Amino acid sequence: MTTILAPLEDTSRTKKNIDPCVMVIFGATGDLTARKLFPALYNLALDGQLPGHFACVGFARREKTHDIFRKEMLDAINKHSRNRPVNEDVWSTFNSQIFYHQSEFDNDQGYEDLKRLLDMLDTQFGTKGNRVFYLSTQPSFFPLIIEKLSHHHLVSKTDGTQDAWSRVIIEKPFGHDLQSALKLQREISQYLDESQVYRIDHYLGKETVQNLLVFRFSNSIFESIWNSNHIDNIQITVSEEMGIGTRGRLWEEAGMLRDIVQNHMMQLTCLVAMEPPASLRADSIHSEKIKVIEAIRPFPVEQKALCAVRGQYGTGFTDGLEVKGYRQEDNVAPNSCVETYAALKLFIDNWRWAGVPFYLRAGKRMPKRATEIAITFKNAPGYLFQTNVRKNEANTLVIRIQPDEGISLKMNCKIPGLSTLIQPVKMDFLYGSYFGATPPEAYERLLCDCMAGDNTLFARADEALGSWKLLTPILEQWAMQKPTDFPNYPAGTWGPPQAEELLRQDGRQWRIL
Amino acid sequence: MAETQIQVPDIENELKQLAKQGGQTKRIRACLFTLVIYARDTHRAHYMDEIVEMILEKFPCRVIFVRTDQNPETEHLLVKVSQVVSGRSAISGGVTIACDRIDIDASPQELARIPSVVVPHLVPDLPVYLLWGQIPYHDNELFPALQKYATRVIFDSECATDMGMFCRDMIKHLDDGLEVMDINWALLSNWRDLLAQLFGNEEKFSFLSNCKSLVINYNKTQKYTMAHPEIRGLYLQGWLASRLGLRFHDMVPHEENIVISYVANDNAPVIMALAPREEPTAPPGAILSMELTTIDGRSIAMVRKPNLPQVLVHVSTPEICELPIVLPLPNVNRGLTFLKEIFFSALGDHYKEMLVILNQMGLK
Repeated sequence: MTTILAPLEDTSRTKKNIDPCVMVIFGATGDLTARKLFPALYNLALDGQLPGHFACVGFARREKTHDIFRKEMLDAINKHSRNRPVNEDVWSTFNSQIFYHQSEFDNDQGYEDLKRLLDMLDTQFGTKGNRVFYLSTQPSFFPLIIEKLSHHHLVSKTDGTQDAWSRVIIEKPFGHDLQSALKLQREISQYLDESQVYRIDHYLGKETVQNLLVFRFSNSIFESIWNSNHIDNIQITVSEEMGIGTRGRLWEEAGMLRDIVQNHMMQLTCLVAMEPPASLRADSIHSEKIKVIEAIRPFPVEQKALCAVRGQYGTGFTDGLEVKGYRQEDNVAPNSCVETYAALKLFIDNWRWAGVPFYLRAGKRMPKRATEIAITFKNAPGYLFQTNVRKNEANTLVIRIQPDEGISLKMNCKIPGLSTLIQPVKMDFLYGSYFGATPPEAYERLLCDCMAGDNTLFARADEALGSWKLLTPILEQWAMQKPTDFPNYPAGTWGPPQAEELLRQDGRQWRIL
Repeated sequence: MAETQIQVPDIENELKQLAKQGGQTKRIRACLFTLVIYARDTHRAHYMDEIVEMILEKFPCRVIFVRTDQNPETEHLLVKVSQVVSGRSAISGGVTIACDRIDIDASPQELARIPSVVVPHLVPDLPVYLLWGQIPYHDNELFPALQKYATRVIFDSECATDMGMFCRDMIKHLDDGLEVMDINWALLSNWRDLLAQLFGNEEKFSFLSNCKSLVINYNKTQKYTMAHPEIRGLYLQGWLASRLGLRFHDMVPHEENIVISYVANDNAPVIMALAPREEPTAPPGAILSMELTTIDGRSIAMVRKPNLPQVLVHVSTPEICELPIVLPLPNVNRGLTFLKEIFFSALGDHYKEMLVILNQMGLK
C-alpha cells in the first residue's frame, strides 16, 4: 500500500515545497555572501520562494552585531541584487530573519553557542531543526567545519528516521587535484551521507544551462542529429574580460584549469554530451553525467600530441585601456607560472561521440566576456553551392550562457538576385527579448533547490572525482614542466598562439566570439 | 539617429539602448556581417563613408569605422555609437531596418588600443569584412591585429602612393593565402566580362591575339576622394597583356597619355596607350572606350554610351564595315553588382598575373 505523505501536494505544480529551515553561512563576511548569497536570498523572499518559517545566520570570525551585519547585507543587496531598490516591506520581514554569529572555525565553544542560537531560532521561527550549512570559506576549512558540526550534533548522517534534516553546501574548489579531492571526500563521508552534500557549481543554476536539457530532450529535431554522424566538433568557451583582480593570492594556488575547467566546463561538457536520462530525478541525471566523464579518453600528456595548452596574460589593452599583466597583479609572484588560460581537446569514446573533438577554452583578459557552447555541424555533402572563393560555412548552433542568454543557429542563405551567392545568416533566440523579466540568478535556484532537498543541479562526488582524475595528469605534467614562454598572450587577445595550433592541427579554428 | 559619445565599456549597452528606442519607432535591428573600415586620411574617410552608405543601401550590417586623425591637437580615443537606417529599409507595415554603427576616432599614438575596442564588437558567426582605406603596405600595427579576424580584406589601389609597391604587397598577400579584394579591380569587372564575352571564341580571340595597338580612354575627371583616375586603365591593359602572354618592354609618358610597349610571343611589338578624357557624366576613372587594331588591319571600337549601361561595339576590316552592335555594360559603381564583386567574387589568377605585369612597369 502506498502511503500518501503530502495529500495536498499537487505534483503537477512546479513550485517546490520547501521545509522550514535555518541557513547558516560560514564565511559570512566574505565577498560571495555579499555579492551573491544575500541578494539571492532576498530575491527568493521577494518572489515568495523562501519557506514561511526561515532564518539565516552569518557565521564568521570578525566581531559584529546582528544589526551591523543586517545593515551590511542591506547595502550589499542594494548594490548587487537584480531587483533594486530594496522593497521596504519585504526587507522589514527578511531583516528580522537575519542573525550574526562570531566565532573562529576551530572554536568548540563557538559551535556550542551556535547550537543554542539555532535552537532559539527554531523556537522563534518554527524552523523545526532543519539546517542548511553553507561553507563559503577557504577550502582548507571544509573538513574542520564539517567535523565540528558533527561533533556538536549540528549535523549527523541521515538514516531516514530523523525528523529534522541537515545539509551542507560546499563551494568550489572541491580539492585541488585527485588526491586532495579523495581525501576531502573521505573526511566528509565520515560525517555526512552523500545525499546531504551539495557541491555547488553555480553554472548549473543558470537558466540557459538548465534549458540545455530541455532544448536537447524536448526538441526531436535537435536530438536526432546530436551525434557524430552530424556534428563535426563542439567548442565550449568561458572567456572573461577581467583579470584576476583582487584574487591574486587565491589564483596563485588555483589557476584556470582548477578554477574553471575542472568544475564548470566539465559540467557543461556532461550536459552537452550525456544520454537522455530515464527521468528528471537527480540520480538519473547524475548517472548519465558520470557515464560521460568515464567515457572521456584520458589525455595523452606523455605523448607529443598537443591536447592541452596553457597561457598567462601579459600587459595589453582591455576596452581601450592599458592593463597589467598577470605577474604585475597584486599578490602574484613576479615569476609566477600559474595559468590564466587553458585550452583542451578531448574525446568521448562512446557510440554517440566517436571521433568528435570537444575543444574547451577558458581564459582571463580575453577581448570580451562570454560563455557559450557552440556545436558545429558537418558540412553539407558535395559542393553544390560552393563558390570559387570559399566553401559554404558549416551550420553552427550556439547556446549562449552569458551574457545575452539565448540560442542562435547559423545557416546559409541565398542572396536575393539572379546569381546564386551564399551568405551565412543567423536565427537568434534571446531570452531577454522573449521572456522580458530578468531570469533568476543561479544562486537563487541553487539555494532554493538545496532547501527543497533536490541535488540535481549539484555535482555528485563521483563527478567531481572523475573530473579530477582526468585533469590531474595535466596538472602534474604542467607542474613538472615549467613554462618558459609566460606571459604568452597579451591582455585583450584570444589566448596564446599554441591554442590556435591546437585546432589548426585538426584543420579547424576557434570561433570568433 | 544622433551619435552619442560614450565610454568604451558602454558600447554594447548603448547599442542595445538605441535598438530599444528604435523598436519603439518600428525599427528592426539587423545585421548580415560586420564591416570594419579603417581610414587615416580625411579624404579617404569621406570616400569610405560613401562606400559604407552604398553598402548599407543593400546590406544591413554592423559598421565599425576607425579613423586616425594625423594632426591631432591631443592624444585621444573617442567612441561614438549610433543607429543608421539601411537604405532598403521600408518593409511591410512601415517597419525600417536599422544597423549599429560604432565610430572610433583616435590619434595615431593610440593605434595599439584600437583592437581592444574593435574586436569585442565583431558579430559572432557572421562574416567580417575589413575595408582598409589606406595603402596595404603602410607600416601600421592595426592591420595585422584586425586582419586576422577578417573573412576578407578589401583594399583600394586608389590610395596607393606607389603602385609598384602596391602590386608587390598585393602579390604577397595573395601568396600568403589572404582573401583580398581590390576595389578598382572590382570596378573593372563589367569591362572584363564584356571583353570575355566579345572575344569568347577562337575566331574572335584572334582579334586580340593579333593586336597591334590598343588605345584605352578613361575619364580623367578628378574628385576630392579620387586622385588617380588612370588606375583602371592601367589594370585593363595589364590584364589584357597578361592574358595575351605579352612581355613588357617599356613605358613612356606622351603628353597626357601613357604609352606602354609590349612584345608578343612572335616578337611583334604591341602598343597600348592610356588616353585621358574629360567625361562629366561618367564616374572618375571609368573606362570610356577602347580601340583595338590588329596587324592585319582589322579594328574594333568599343564605346561606352553616356548615361546608359551599354557599350557600342563597331568592328571593321579592310573589306567590310559591320553594323555596330550594342552590348550591356552593368553599372558597377553602385548597387548590388559592386557589392557582390567586393564581397563575393574571387580575385583569382587573372588579378595576380596582371599585378606581375604592372610590377614590371616600374610604376610609382
